[in-house]
Amino acid sequence: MVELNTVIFDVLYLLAAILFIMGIKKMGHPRTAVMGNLLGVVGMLLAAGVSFLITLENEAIQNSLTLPIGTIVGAIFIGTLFGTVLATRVQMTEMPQLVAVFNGVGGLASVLVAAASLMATKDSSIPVEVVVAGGVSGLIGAVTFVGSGVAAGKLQELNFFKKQLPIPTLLRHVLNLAMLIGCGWCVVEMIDTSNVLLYLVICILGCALGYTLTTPIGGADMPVVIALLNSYSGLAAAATGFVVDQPVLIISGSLVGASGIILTSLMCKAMNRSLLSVLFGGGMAASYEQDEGIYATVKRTTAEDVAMMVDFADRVVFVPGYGMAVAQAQNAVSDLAAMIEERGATVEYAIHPVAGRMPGHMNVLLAEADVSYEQLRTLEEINPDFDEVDIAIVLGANDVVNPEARKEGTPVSGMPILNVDEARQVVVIKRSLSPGYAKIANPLFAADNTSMLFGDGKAAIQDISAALKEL
Amino acid sequence: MNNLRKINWVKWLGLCVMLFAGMLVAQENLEQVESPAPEEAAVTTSESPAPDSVPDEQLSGLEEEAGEEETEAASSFTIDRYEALMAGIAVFIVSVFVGFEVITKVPQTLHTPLMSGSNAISGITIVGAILVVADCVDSGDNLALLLAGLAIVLAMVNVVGGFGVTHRMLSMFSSKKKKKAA
Repeated sequence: MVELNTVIFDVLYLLAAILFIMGIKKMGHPRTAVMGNLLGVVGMLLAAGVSFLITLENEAIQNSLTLPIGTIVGAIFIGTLFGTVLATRVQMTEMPQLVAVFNGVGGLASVLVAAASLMATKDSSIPVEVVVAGGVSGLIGAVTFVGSGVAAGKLQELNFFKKQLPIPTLLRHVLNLAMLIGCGWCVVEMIDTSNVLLYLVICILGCALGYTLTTPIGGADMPVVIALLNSYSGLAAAATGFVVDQPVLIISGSLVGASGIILTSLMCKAMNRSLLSVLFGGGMAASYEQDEGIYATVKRTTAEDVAMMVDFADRVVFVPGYGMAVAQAQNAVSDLAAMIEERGATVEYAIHPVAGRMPGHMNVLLAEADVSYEQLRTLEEINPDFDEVDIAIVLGANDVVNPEARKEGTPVSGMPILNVDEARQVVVIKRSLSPGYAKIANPLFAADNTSMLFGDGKAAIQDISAALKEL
Repeated sequence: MNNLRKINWVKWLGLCVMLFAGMLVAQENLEQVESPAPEEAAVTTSESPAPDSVPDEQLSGLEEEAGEEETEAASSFTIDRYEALMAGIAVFIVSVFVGFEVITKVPQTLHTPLMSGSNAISGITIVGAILVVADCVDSGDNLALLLAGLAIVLAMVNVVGGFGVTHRMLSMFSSKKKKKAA
């Protein structure tokens, strides 16, 4: 007979799963997003609470409750402490790294749960499906853990992670494949022998795989990688669900997996690259001949000139890129925008889907600087309007505004870009004329209606604000 | 518009019912797996299906039906566990579709909070981590217990940090409107 308690616990688990689904659904709209997040919190509290109660009632450990309860409560306390510190202390500009770190931590947790579960199995032979699920959990979890670590390191611009592997691309693919096959072999062997040590081998291979997969991926592809790792951390949780036989884990894990995949494909589309080409390198045309004298007609301008231009404008559009995040210029931009608005002009922000280093990176930074999300325009919204824009101020963006994308046969061909060059006047704030990630020159910088304002993004914006104040 | 919303709602309900049904089937099969063992009162559905509770002799005849090459494996694969596994896979597939359904067309503004929020939800491994503690204590494996404890710490960092950061970001998004109005 099924006991009443079991039924109640199962229904509560189910409720938690439904709360997650509703929470994620509500996260899809700015107005309900806060509520959605809170629903997620409630669901998590419920799920953790039920698990705790189940442990309390477990008859196998009734005689020695102190050890398990002590472990659980202590571990929850420590985890909460670290989590709170990280969540409250980290700067908004470091958000991509933080999200990557949380991804990795979640992946490692899945690895450990599967490990503990396999080790705690009492009898000599572990069921086939548990072994397989455990292997999958260990592999994906380990890849997520190390992959996220590498991604976070790259985003933090640590030198260690900038190094490329001294292995040729083809050999790397072979090596990766070999490691994957090795994992498969370990699982098969583990089914036969129930030797838990093989799980350790899987984890080590997973870690190595995570490293070799993410290290060659460049900084501008990070939005894709982070979204993908997010998906992986969910899939690892789902696999763990099969190990411990808990549908709530399977449901929540696959929800996260699905959401991560959607974001990944959105990012890929925005970069005009296939997921495979991001993951395995290549995809970009190797060499592209450009006119040497392309920058011959570049015009310089000064903050005072820009201020004067802005003073006459009716419609100003900021085009932020990763450079804004690096220069931490979001507050300066917001202040300047407020001044421009006081003079009666409208200010908008044109945001390319892959501007920055994580999905929606620019939106978060601008939100931190008190920019209303109603002023943020997506690529589809703003592109038809650019010919009515008086001044487009490009701040630390390059490839996403490169008109070469509209031509055939360039490395960025076909990539959706912001049609900044159609604006009446364009001001590009940049430290130098150095190329962006695609390593090609940008004809926009030399266009007739473009003037360059060289310098640090934040300082340049503040100079413009100061000059505007004096007008 | 209103009509459209209604259809959406019904679709939702349908998906939830399917999920619930899948879960029930999974749980029920699990009970069947665990119940033959007299000394193990089926209190928890949480434990991984303890194979010692499956009387091999009685059910070995069913192995053939479970089919697939897994029957060759050292551990016997019974029909009950097969069904439980299948139900689990069904839940997985349906959930993936629910996930796709829920998240399509999220505005770009919310990509980051959505990612960190869903990332926090992947900290649901906390459930597995807590449940496995009892098994670890029961089997007296201290290393496993240590790993489980560590897993709880990490999952908790994931959960608290993820939700915390998401809330921090989202409150920035919403505070603007008030400021503008003021």
